[in-house]
Amino acid sequence: MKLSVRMNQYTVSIQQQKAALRLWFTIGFIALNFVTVAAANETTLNLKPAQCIAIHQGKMCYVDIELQWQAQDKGEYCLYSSQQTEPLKCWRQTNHGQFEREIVTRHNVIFQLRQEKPAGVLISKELEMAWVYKRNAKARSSWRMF
Amino acid sequence: MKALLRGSITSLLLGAVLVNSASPMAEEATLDSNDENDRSGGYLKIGYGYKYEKTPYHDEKNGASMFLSGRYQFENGIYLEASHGANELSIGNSLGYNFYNTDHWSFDIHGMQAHGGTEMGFGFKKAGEEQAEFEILHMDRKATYMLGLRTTGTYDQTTFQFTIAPYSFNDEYDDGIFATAWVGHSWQLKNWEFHAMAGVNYRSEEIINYYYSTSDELIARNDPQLGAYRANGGFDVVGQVGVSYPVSENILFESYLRFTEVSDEISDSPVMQLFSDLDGRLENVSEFGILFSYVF
Repeated sequence: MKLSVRMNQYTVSIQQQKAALRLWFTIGFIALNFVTVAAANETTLNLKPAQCIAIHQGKMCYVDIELQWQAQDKGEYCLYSSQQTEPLKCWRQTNHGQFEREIVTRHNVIFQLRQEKPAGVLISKELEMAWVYKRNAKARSSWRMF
Repeated sequence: MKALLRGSITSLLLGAVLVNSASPMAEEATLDSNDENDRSGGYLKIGYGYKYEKTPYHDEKNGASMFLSGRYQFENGIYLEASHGANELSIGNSLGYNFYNTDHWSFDIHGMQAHGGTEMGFGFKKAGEEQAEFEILHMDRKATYMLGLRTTGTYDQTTFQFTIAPYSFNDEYDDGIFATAWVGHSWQLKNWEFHAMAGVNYRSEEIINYYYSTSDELIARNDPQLGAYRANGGFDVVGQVGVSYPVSENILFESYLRFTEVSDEISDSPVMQLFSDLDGRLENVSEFGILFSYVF
């Protein structure tokens, strides 16, 4: 008799879990749809590669970068970098674009996608500097650092 | 006269340390160490790759090779340097004290290996006893560690380095003099770094004779190839070109080619002439390496 009761309790418990699972599936489905809609509304800016690697800190670093951007609405957009005040490139009546260039720098470079009307920064990405020997030139007193 | 000269140089070196710790210059150097002249810090590089080496000192090396190099300087100026396996301009481990720096030059009390230990074996058979076993006579010599003064100058992409070491820790012979002079230049092409270096290593007659003069035991054998030999001081001349490329933030690709013309005072030694005539050996040293290393 005790065994039977336990079995009933077990069965009830399983049914409750299934109901809870259905609820979570429903919430998850709604949430996923919401996230997808939100992602579609987002402006994206992809930078490849994200790092420029030089041997010694302080030396010039050379990297061929590729930037791809996507906005929700067609409009006037310009791509800027922290290396210059003039835009790298501007686009008219489009919602996507691509830009390629060799970057030569000693410092991190920030890229910004700006909308012309209304004016404002939509998104930015940073090209980070990395060095194998992370010290200044003076610390390279060892002959072997060539 | 030579003993007097060595004594004077040693006194100068010790004097430099004392002056540094007791004079206003010490304060200046301490201030320097806190700003852009600070040399503290370092790196450790562990690598693996291909190495080809032909030399009179050992059999030809042609294959995979591991290597390690590193340098670390503490904030108080004491530093350690290590170079093992490949691309070694200095031998083994070094220990020193960086006591003064200027914008372009650093000055160190430098303890280094002036010559590695050697183990030579010579087999003898009496005429008419071809079936008999060789009798092996050994001529083994300890490594020589020396203490001296080293200065390194950097002007843009050009580096100079001079070392003079008058004090030897090897008690098996009188102090000799070990000295080096190097100049190197590097060029950057995109993220590739090319370099070229040339240098000379001088070892005085005491050092060369300790390692390369025929031992009395060998001379007593009266072998015409192993006669008595006395050398003068001699210069090894070294040239190297190389290239480096950063594969990632921690992985470095390096390749180098080096040629060392061994001093005639060493090459003319009867023991070295026997060894350099062996298969797979040369009178001088040629070395080539392609290495990938992880830099910490």
